[in-house]
Amino acid sequence: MAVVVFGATVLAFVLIDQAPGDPGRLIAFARYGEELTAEQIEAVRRSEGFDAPLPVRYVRWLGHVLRGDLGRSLATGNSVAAEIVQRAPATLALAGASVALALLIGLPLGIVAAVRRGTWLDALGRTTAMLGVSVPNFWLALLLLLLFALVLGWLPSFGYGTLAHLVLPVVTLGTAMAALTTRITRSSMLDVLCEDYVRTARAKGLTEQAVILKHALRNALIPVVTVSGLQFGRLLEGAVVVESIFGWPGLGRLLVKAIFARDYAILQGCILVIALLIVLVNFLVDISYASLDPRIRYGQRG
Amino acid sequence: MHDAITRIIGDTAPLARILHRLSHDRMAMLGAAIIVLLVIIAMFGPWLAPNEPLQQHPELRLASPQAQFPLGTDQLGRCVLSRLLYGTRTSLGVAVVVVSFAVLIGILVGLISGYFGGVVDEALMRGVDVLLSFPGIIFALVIVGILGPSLFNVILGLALVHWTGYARLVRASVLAVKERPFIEAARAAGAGHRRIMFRHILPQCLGPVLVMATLGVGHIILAAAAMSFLGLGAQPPTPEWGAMLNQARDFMRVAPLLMVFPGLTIMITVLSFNLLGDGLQDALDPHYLPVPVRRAGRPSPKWTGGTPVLPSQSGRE
Repeated sequence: MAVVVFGATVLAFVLIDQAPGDPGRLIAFARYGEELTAEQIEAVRRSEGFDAPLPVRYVRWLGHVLRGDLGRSLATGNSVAAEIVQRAPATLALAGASVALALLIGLPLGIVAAVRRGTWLDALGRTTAMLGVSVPNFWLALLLLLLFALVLGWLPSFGYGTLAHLVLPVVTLGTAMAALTTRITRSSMLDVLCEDYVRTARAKGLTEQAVILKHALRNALIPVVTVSGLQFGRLLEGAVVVESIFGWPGLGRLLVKAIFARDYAILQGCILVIALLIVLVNFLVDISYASLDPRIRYGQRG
Repeated sequence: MHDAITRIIGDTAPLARILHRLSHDRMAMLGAAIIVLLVIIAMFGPWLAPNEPLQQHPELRLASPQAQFPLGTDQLGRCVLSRLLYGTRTSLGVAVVVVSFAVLIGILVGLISGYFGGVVDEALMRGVDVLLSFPGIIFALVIVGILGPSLFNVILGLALVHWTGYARLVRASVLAVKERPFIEAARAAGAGHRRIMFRHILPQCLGPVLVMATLGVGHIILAAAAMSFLGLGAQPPTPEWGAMLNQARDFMRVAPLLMVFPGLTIMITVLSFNLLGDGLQDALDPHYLPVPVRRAGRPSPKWTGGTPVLPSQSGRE
């Protein structure tokens, strides 16, 4: 994990550092406005340390990052770290609620599809899951917006603040993810249902409900958790689109704005934070295995 | 996706049997038929389109479907159907370029990593891990942010990160194949590294790659359309499905149909690649069992005393 974190910081740094366009010029422009002299640009280049070799610049940059300093926005002059800290909760709320919705729909649907394998319920589950992974999220978002905000007027179309604002973005992201959760739950349950211990549980006279919910489900959950973790990146991709459509003030919208404004400082901060979030989520997924499966132990024991 | 695909690494049935199995999968065949149709449209779009996709008819803005414009016109009075037909070339083209590039790089990295192992493997796979911590669209967004919005930069960004999945997949296949006796035999016969890698190991790994690439085309079509939707990919007036949706968005109250067709087109396209990919995956599965037909009244896969059915092996992912 340490290697990946290190690599992610290098990549985030090098991508922006090697970007075409003279960052010294950009910063000088942000600082002094239209009428720039060559000396002013040169002075900024020197004061910002752009004349040092790449590894030196990286180490210097990393030093700032470790102290929580991600630089200043080229467009607004605000602290990048402050902008990100201000917007991260909105994205995390969106992501969290979407994962919850995905599990709420996907787990029962997947279990039913597995237990009633080959019936119309299974076919229905599979069709929905197939459609769910094929629908473009931006289209779904627009259709939901048209129906529930413009035609029916039940929900706000744009903005942030109340629970009602959360509904459409979460439904957009959550249903797409639910499609995948359903597929994984189904195939994982099918694997588990023909294990010996499930037969044993049935043989000792447990009700079908107890067998499925207590014995099978717990073991079937590991792949579901793994995939949910891996899907976190996909979720952030979706957040970029969905936040832009619904005016949700999160990291995704910040990122898109930064791209249009060519605000490299914000861009760098965003990708660094996103990469670190993804590494963190994968780490948490790894840890959660141990609580799902007592056979897995990290460290010396076992 | 990886786990389900890696399950089919190993003994792959001969091509004829795979095709035979595939031909019995109705959904996969439906997907394949739509893909063939799309390829024809991409190739012959200019002859099929009823109108010029860029020609504006100012007197007929946001018109509803009619004889001359079967799917109506957009905000500038351009023929929606013609734009959709032309857009097929863009979307399929982008996806094919990105996926081909990704498959080539992925195979090369995966083969080298899996075959040589050790430090080389470690270094390459950590590099893949680093790239994987940047989600595909977000990485592509950053590339576009740095180099400027254009379709080419979208292709570049998506290709630069999309290959990692193939590299991991091929590496896993190589690890499964390289200890098998026939590789030993090839080595004993004096084959060099390159010959063993490309002539003996690679063919064994292509099945899973084919599945992943089919699903990958659908995924890239979605991603590229999303980027164009955000205004970062294909630029107006290029007819592109995602960009068309973006423009339709401003008129959704007055002309909701304008928004329906591009979305539907993207969905059907992606769906057809997903159906075919899924079908291929089942057909390549060495433990292939036909899709079960269950008698009524016996719904759950309970163990009934005979040989237990092995649902895991016929179940789709």
